[in-house]
Amino acid sequence: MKQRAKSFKDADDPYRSGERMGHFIGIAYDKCCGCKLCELSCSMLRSGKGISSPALSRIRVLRREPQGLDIPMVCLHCEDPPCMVCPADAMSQDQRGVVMINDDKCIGCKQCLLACPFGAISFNPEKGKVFKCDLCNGAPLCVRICNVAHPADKVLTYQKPEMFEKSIRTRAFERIANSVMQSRVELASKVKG
Amino acid sequence: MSKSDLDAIIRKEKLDGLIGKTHMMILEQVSQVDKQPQEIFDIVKGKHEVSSFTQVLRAIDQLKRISCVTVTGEKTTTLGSSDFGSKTEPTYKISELGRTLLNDLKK
Amino acid sequence: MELYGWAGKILRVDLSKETFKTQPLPTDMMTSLIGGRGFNSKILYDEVAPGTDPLGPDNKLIFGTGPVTGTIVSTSGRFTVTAKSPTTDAFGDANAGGHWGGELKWAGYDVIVFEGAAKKPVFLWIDDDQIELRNAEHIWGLDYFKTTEEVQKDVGDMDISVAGIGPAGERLVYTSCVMNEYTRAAAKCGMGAVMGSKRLKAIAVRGTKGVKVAKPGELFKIVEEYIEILKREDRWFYENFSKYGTPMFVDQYQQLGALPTRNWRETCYEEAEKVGVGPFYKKYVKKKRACQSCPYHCSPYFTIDEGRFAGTWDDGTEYEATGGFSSKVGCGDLEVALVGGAWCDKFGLDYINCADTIAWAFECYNEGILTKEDTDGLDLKWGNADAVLECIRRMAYKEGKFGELLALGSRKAGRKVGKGAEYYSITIKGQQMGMMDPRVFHAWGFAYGVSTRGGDHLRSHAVCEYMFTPEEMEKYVGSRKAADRFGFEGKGKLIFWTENIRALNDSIENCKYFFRGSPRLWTEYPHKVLSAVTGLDWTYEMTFAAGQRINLIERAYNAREGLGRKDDYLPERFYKELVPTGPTKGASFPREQYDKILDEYYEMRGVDKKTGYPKKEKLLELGLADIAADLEKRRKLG
Repeated sequence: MKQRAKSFKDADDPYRSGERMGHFIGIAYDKCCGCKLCELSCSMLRSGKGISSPALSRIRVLRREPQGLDIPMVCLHCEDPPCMVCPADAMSQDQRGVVMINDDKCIGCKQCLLACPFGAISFNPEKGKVFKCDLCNGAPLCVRICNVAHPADKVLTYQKPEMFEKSIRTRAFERIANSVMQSRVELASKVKG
Repeated sequence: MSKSDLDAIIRKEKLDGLIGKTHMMILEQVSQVDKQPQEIFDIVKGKHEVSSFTQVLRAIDQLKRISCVTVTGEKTTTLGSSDFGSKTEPTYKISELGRTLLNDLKK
Repeated sequence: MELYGWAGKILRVDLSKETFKTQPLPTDMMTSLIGGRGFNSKILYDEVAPGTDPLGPDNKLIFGTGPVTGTIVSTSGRFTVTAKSPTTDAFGDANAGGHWGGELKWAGYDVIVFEGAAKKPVFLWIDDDQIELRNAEHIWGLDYFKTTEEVQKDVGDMDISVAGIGPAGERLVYTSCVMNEYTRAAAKCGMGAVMGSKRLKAIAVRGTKGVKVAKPGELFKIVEEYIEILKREDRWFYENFSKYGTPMFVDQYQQLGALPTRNWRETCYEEAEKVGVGPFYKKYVKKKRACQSCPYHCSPYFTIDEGRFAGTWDDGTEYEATGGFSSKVGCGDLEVALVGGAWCDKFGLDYINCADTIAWAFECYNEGILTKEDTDGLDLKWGNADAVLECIRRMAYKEGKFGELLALGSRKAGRKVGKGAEYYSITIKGQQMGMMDPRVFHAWGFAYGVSTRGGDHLRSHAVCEYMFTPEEMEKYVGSRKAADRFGFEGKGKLIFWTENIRALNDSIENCKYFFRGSPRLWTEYPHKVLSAVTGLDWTYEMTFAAGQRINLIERAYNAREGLGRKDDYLPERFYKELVPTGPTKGASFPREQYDKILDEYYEMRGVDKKTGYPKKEKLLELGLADIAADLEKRRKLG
């Protein structure tokens, strides 16, 4: 596992050297229904103790009933992660771009937690260390259970760099295409009428 | 496909002991002419304890799972029952395996 | 020994003394009653004596969760609220979805028992091990939506879960309920009034400890496997329900000729198309939301963006609002029905109890039993949708003498008015009915009569009567004839079977919608998930026995309160009147047939055919010797 340089300026350009970064979990923010299967699967299978608890989950869904909002929030494995501020060398990033915490090195200072603009890092008071999404070594459980339970909605998807722009663009295209076709129908009926 | 192939498919789908008169009536209805669930229900309702549309819908699904009927198209529906937002229902037709099953059920 | 699933803790809150204590959850309760409704019903039997005033300090308000609550087990965020009911004057409970149940488990509690009554309004704040009764005088009087906001502000966290009451519960309105997550309701049996009588405004919870799962890997596999089975074996329901939620029943029951119309007089409504899923989803629904761990996301979140109701929002809008405030009260205005539902959520009123009571008032008015003088000037002619909204508001706030009358619920209001008004109170044991007409589903219809909490379709939720193929009915229930909804055979047997499994659903705390068309879900899921979560070896037989046990405890409670066979009947309307119009025109439920089914059911349930009291042999067989002894002492043993 390669250690990413603390500053992008200092590093060799990963794309030039053939490395492909950019793996992350894609989120369709308008489709999440707030069921928390992702939170409870993650905590139960990844917290190490078989405990089902949102507080131990690396993905969190924030819900706001009056606005009908359910927003999954999880580490986006930034290309230039602010959480690399770690003074103990516990934070690193691999070839896929997955940002990971080395539990043995973590001193629980919480600087990374404060630095993250997405609130994606959590603190486990029992262990005295931080934790966050590590993409489950390439097969994220949250993505799996979400797609089993809600296959039609494609809320969470495992994204690789060659896929993610295309999938967002395709979704936007579908919305626009529907609206164009709808306007044809309305126009046709107005002309006939 | 033989009767033993059919039995294997039924077992795989955990439908052993669950294919009977309801399915026989449905297979008869789609053995000559393609039909939609609504039409089938209108004919079979009141026979052999079939009294609700959803019973026919689920039985057709079961026949589809064991490859005894196939979807051949769509027809307009007056009840809109398969999907409340839709104006059409699929039409079904018996398959070869379905003919084997029908013969077996008639015995 | 390590405890998995259950937290192992009962929290007792004495509101009179403002003290708390925690007790360990007895092991025998876990294995014989499982959780949720099972725990609550036994505690109620043991601690709330017959003759207790439901709105007095001696009643207890019990909130219960199950061993799988708060895990990935499908639909496992639910909880049950139990107390002696002011509507039935006997057993009462209510069940809700959302997320509150899970949050309570994550905080480390299985059950909360509220005793006594606070001198001033309070709310309970549970933050893991920290428990506090906080002053609620500044929020008493607020609607439930505002209450949630203010409690979250008070505690400083918008992500906490808040269960509470609105103005209706505060005013002890009999049709009031306990709400959670803004729009979920523990709706039946007047639990809101009991909470209001204790001056308990809300229960706010934050839980970070979590639920321990014995076999996490196995549980994950089982949960995935059974979601796949649901999608495969109950495909039609899975697809439609995920898309539309319960509002689809307006359309479906209209087709089936089962839609309660004009106070249960008719079973199909000429304007049903205006209030079905078509118009609702086209113009108003913006997104679908879900309860904890649910694969369906059945809840429609809607907003009304223009017109006189612009600004209205609601979530989890149910058929009991879109149909209840339309066809049931003879009005075809979708927006009024949606606003009616939103107001019920704000004021803390049960959709069903509220709609049924309004329907009663409308029919009495149209039959000349109630006059404009009685209705404080409201014109309740069929079709006057605005009057429906007025009724909801006046009921919630007990406004005027008509508001006070409506707040009694249709049974007590009917008795008060007299002059034949009672015939139009469509209630059983005082509790209003929901869902569909008994004349066109003879098993499910029969079940309303024997439900332990009064008029209720969920005690049996016998949707299998129209979802199971006759072959499935034969294999799993033991009666092919039970699949014919217009027949009368095998119905007692079917209801005995469904009631046991539904009691089980209410105890592990699972949503009944997960168990619909696929018999494998009904018979395999509960004991498999219980085993994987608790680490104990549960079997179908053990869970089925627990279901029987719970039903019989509740029947025993009712017997102690003076209820018996005479109270296990449907409203006269369903025996006397034939369905007048529509696809099921002519359908009936003759009383003699009902009696036969009742006898068949009593036989299986272990109930004395003459009195309706539980029989000693059955109680002993189920390990309820203490209840048998108690009933015998009171001469209520069958």
